[in-house]
Amino acid sequence: MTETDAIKLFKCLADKSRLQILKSLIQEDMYVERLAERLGLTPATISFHLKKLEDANAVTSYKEQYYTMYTLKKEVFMTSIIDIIKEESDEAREQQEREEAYRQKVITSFFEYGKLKTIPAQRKKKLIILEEILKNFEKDRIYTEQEVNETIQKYHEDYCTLRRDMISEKMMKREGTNYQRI
Amino acid sequence: MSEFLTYLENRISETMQQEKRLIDSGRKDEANLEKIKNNVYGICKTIYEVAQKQTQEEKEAETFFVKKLEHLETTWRESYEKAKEFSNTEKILVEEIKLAALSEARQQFEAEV
Repeated sequence: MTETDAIKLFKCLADKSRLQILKSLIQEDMYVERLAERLGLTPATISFHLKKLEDANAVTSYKEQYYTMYTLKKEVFMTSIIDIIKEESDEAREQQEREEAYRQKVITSFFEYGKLKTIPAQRKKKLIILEEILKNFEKDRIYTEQEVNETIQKYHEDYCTLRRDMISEKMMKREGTNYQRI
Repeated sequence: MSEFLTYLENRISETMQQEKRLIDSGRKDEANLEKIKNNVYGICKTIYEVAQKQTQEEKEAETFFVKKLEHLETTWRESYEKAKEFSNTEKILVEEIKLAALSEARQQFEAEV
């Protein structure tokens, strides 16, 4: 169930008459007039509520002789609320896009013609820069210190600081003079 | 004729109370439908008061009032038919409620003339 569907369903359920309709339909499938009689509402009001329930995907209808019967969509109600919360929301996607846009902005500001202009003072920005340089290292390969230094030096002359930062930020691990990307 | 005005004021007050009761019992949509009735009685009251102010002649005021109600009925009936044509359940109900409240007010008016 998408976030939009869930909101629509919850909004729809937040009404006493509609809950009463669902309580009737859980017992058996019913037609408008019968529901109206049971709940003391006019058939027009019942139709109005059923339309909302149908739009929220809570009920569905089928033809039986002269009647349009309404039935509960049980599978919708079997969905647990925790599953709905776990569902990735549009907001999460937008957040991801905003983060990516920020990342690009930092990269554009600190790199010029493939060289790092300065080492950012802000940790958040520095992490982005380090991650960008880290892309040069393969995950399963062991590098010597010289190889690491040469690679980082292509970006900035202060390769020692950047190399040490990669270790302290747990992007790379060091064993003796060997380095490996984590 | 002030009896008619009292009737309209009573209906306005009743529908307002019913709207509040429905909201309190968690029936917001039905409360909105009650609000529609309330608005119709309010419209009738306004038209009636305008009719009374426009002329001292009782008959003329009655004709003015009825004509305005007829115009409203025609407009709302057209809207109702359109809603039916497009199977717009919500609109059908709204227009039915408006027409029923208008018809009730008109019958009350005619009974008092």
